[in-house]
Order: sequence, then C-alpha cells, then structure tokens
Amino acid sequence: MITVVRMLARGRSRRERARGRLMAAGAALATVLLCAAAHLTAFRLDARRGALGILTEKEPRLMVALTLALLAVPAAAFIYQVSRLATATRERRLAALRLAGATPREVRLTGAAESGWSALAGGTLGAAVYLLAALVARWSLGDVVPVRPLLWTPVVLAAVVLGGALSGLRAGRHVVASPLGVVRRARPRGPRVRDLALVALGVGLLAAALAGKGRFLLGGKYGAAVAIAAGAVLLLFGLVLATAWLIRMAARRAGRGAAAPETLLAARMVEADPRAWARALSVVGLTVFFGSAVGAHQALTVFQSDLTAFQAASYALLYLALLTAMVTSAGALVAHQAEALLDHRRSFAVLAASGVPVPALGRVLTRQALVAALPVCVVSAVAGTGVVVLLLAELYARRPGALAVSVAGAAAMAGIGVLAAVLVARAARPILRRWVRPGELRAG
Amino acid sequence: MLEARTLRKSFGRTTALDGASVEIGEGEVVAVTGPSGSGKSTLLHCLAGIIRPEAGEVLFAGRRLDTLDEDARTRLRRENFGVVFQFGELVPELTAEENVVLPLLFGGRGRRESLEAARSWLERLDVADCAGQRPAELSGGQLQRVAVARALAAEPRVIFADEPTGALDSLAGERVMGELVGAARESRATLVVVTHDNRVAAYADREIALRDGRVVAGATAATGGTADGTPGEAAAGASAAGGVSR
Ligand SMILES: Nc1ncnc2c1ncn2[C@@H]1O[C@H](COP(=O)(O)OP(=O)(O)OP(=O)(O)O)[C@@H](O)[C@H]1O
Ligand SMILES: [Mg+2]
Repeated sequence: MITVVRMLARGRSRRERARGRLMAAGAALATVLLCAAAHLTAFRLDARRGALGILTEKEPRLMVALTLALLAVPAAAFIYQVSRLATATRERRLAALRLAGATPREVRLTGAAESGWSALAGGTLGAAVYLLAALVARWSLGDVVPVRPLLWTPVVLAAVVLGGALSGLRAGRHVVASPLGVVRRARPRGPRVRDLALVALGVGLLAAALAGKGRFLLGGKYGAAVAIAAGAVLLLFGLVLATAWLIRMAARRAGRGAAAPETLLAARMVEADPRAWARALSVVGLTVFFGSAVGAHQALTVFQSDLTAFQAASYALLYLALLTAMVTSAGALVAHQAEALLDHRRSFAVLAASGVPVPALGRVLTRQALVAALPVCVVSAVAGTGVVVLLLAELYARRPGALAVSVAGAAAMAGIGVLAAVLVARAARPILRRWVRPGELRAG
Repeated sequence: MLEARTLRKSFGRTTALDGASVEIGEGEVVAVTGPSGSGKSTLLHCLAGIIRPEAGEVLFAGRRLDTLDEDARTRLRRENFGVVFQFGELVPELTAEENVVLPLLFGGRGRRESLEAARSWLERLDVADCAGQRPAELSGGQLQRVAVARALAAEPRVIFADEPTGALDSLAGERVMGELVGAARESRATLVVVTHDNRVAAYADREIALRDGRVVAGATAATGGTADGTPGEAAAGASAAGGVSR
C-alpha cells in the first residue's frame, strides 16, 4: 500500500503538485479560520460575565448568532471549495492506475492518503501560525484573550485532516465505478428546482431551532444543536446549488447575446461548469448578504446620535466578522481561479497558438468573473437588504432616509463583491501569460 | 513563400533542431516525416511562429518572422496561418459551430458573417449535423473535421497540421486527410503536415524527411533530395521507408 502511494506521488505531474500545494494552503487558511471561530465563541462566554453582557440582551443575541454563522459558514464552505481543488487531474491519474490493475480499494485509499497528507501539512502550518498569533495577542492584551480554548486546536486540526482525507475518498469514487468513464466527461447535469427546496429546508430548520430558544421539538438542548448544525449544512449545500442555478441562467443569457468573442467564450466556460463558480461565489454571496443586512440594520441608527456602548460593541463585532468573511471570500475566489486556470490551461494555450492575443484571453478571465459574480452579488445584496427592511418595516416607515442609506450600502456591498471577483481574475493574468506558452501544447 | 534557414533549437540538453533548412512554395502541399523525436513538431512550431529558434531564420513572404515580437507574431498567425492539432484541441465548453466561429470573431469579423462562414465550412466537411454538439459528444473523426473547418474558415495562406490523423483509425484518417488536402488545394493555401503515416505522405507534393533535427531529404521543391551534408544512409533510409507504402 505504502509503495503504491509512494509510486503515485512520484508519478504526479508538475501541475498536480501545484494542486497539492493549493490544497495545503487552503487547509492552512481553513484551520486558522476555524480556530478563530472557536476562540471567538469563548470570548462570548467570557463576555457574559464582563461589562458588555451581550448574551443577556435579547436583540443582540441574534446578532451574536449571526456573527458566529458568518464566521463558521464561510469557513466550512471554504474547506469544501478547497477540497475540490485536487480532483480533476487526479481522477485521470487514478483511472490510469485502475487500468494498470490496482483494485478499487487501493485507488480509493491512495486518493484519501494523498489529500489527507496535503491537509495535514497545511493544517499544521495553519495551527502553528494561529497559536503563535494567539499567544502574541495574549501577551499584549492580557486577560481579555482567553487561553484555554487554544487546547481545542488539535481537534480543529484533526477535523481539517479528516475533511481532506474524506474528500480524497470521494474523489476516487467515480474512478472506482468506471475506470474509463473519466476520460470522456459528459455534459454536466443541469441544476434543478429541487435544489432550491434544500435552501428552504435549511432555513426552516435553523429558524425553528433559533426560535425555540435553546429547546427543540425533539431532544431538547441537544436536539437544537443538532438541528442548527443540520440546518447550516443543508443551507450551505442548498445555497451552492441555488447559486449554480442562478449562474448558469445568467451565463446562458450572456452567451446567447454575445457579440464579442471574449464574452462568448467566457459565458460558455461559466455555463459549462457553474458549480465550480457557485462554490466560490456562494461564499462571496453570503458575505454580501450579511454585509447588506448589517448595513440595512445600521441604516436605522445613522440618524440617531445616542448609540449605546453596547450597540457600538455589537456593530464592531459584526464588522470584524464581516471582515473575516471577506478575507475568506477572497481566499475562495483565489482557490477557484487557480482551479479554473488549471482546467482551461490547454484551451488557452491552443487559442494563443492559433493567433488569439494573450490580452484577449485575459479579458476572457475577467468576463467570466463578471458574468458569474454580478448576478450572485446583486441577488445577495437585494435579499440581505430585503430581509431586514421587511422585518423592521415599522421602523423604516418612521425614518424615511434610512431606506436610501441601506440601498446605497447594499449597492456598495454588491460592488465590492463583483470587484473582488474581477480583481482576482485580473491578478491571474501574469500566470495566464506564463501558462499559454507553447510547451503546454505537448500532450500530457 | 515560407523558408527556414539552418534552424537550431534545443530544450535543456536535448537538441530538437540542429541546422534544419527548408523552402516551401506558395500553394505547395508538403509532408514532414521522420522518426519520433526527430524534431518534426519543433520545426512546425518554428515555421508557424509559435516558438522561436535559437539560431537561424524563418521567412514568411520574404519577411523575417522569428525576429518579430510576440504581438506581431500573434497578429501574423491570426491573419495568415491556420493550425490543426493532433487531438483536434477544440474548446470543450463550446459547440462545434462556436469553435469554428471563435477565431473568426477574434479576427474582427461580425457575428452573422462568421456564423455563415462557419456553417458553410462545417457543411463542406460533412459535419453540419454536429454543429450544436460539444466536442465530448463527437467521434474522433468528426472532431478532427471540425478542427480542420476551424483552421480553414479564416482562409489562411498557410495551414499547419501536426499529425492531424494520428489519433484516428486508417479509414477515418484517410477521409480527414483527403478533405484537408482537397480544401487546401481548392483555396490555394499552402499546407504543411507532419505525419508518421506513409499513406498520408502520399497525398503531398513533396516529402521533407527529418532525422535528428536535420533535414535529410526534400528540403526544396527543386532538389527533392539531400539538403545538407548528411550521410546518404539517412536519406536512403527515409526513401526506403517511403517505398514501403507504394
Ligand atoms: N517543450 C519541450 N521541452 C522539452 N523537450 C522538448 C520540448 N519539445 C521538444 N522536446 C524534445 O525535442 C526533441 C524533438 O521533439 P519533437 O516534438 O519536435 O519531435 P517529433 O519529431 O515531433 O516527435 P513525435 O513524432 O514523437 O511527435 C525530442 O527529444 C523532445 O523530447
Ligand atoms: Mg510531434
């Protein structure tokens, strides 16, 4: 078994090693984020006894829950995104292994060992960095930073490694089913309306659990925790699927009316694989959604001068979470851009060889980002603002200026989301330039 | 029309081209043959301006091509050259028709005009039925015919093809080759085709034989024989290999 893994590791191509490194980097970032989320939870518990007393007041409790969701959901989505990174090329190699006589079990274990190894390497690095940062914070800030939760770091690390290994097991799945199947990729299944039901179910579960104030229909306290976790996971998958659906619709539309070749190519590439875009953009969409919601909530207080210290602290916490979510979004976008570039490398090299200027290919990248990110960000911003305005319709009716402020905030959030996607695409252009060299035309 | 003078190109320690010279006239159909690793693809890429030789000159229509910068070469390729690759290399996300349309659009033609040109080329190569299908849904032969349509639709003056039938069985290969040569002759384009297959070489006006990075036979239309001072044994080997199929 170990020999097989070793042999395989040697058989990895340059671009697969790149994927391995990306996966490790993703695991590192995810570890840092999860550690931060776990740590912040402890902050909250300490604060109960402290001056802020966030947990004792009713409205802000929702805010704290939101904050935690804001930290945990994108982090989970991010791991999911990153765990996908290594699949496509690896599947081809694993299929070759199958043809060469490896048993399905060996193939699956090999996949798991490979990605688990990358996750371990990256996760260890991330954990080390986080521990160091936390100790520095403790040293400079003193008692405010609790130390005990740092004991949870190995648990977080183990979870990340397990996630990596599981994704590796999953990656071997198709290969195991049909050694030849991966050579020809069929047209991917279109998103279905059923996918939207998943979102509704997730929202329902979460709402029921939260409304129950720590109690749930079944199982009391633990039932609530399980319901919240299940709701969050369902919501996450549902959102990715719904986002894929939205992106595909937008891309189809853009492709149909395209006059410029860059737009045609960009739209078709997005349309062919909306899921990959959805994985990255659902994180961005979540950030835009939360950002717009927070903005809409704060719009009500803009004309109010007597903000209590407690309200100010809540907003500060929310914005801190928002910032973290933005960083996560950017990370997800970068991971996705790398994956997309690796997948389209050969097409771009061929186009360049047949006379398409490289700047035009660069425009294809930015237009892909635009085609995919614009609908997601706009829908998220509208939804985020809409939810708050509807919930607080009464307050909004009393403050006429607030609506304009929240709409402006939502527009800004959507703009930031689209801009981030476009900037990441632009940043990839030097890599594109390097990769469209004719060496890429050689088979393999 | 197209000329290479004593090209040298190496990758790391391997020398791919070692003083290769060829001359190709307007409208000529030439086959580039030679054993694996002899530098055929490298020569083709140099002639097409895709890569630059380390030494020697490449001339197209009397103009130095290897000294142009990347932008100028790209423009030249787009306006004058068409390329067919071994595995078709269509963009997998686009339909067959869109694959043919794309280079035309990049060349600055309008959408409607490009679509018309693409349809007529697909029809000519007998793959009009596949226009709406994606590459994954096409057979090897269909794929390659779409690739030929893509290369020809822009009406290039020179068509480069690197083992265009290498991935096909002999029947499908012969059909594609026949269509490629026929279309090139009809539009009076020059065709340079790299091949292992002697039957493919038989379609050509002339065979350029390479060995170890040198041209051992057929460097110019006039001589048709040994070009540079390589031993006669190599040339004899090349023509003997040619003799097998005939
Ligand atoms: N990008 C590259 N990097 C490294 N070595 C290369 C590269 N391109 C070509 N070579 C080497 O240069 C030599 C000539 O290669 P080339 O591809 O031109 O041969 P060929 O005649 O086309 O062979 P085949 O018939 O197998 O396609 C070979 O030894 C090859 O390994
Ligand atoms: Mg070759």
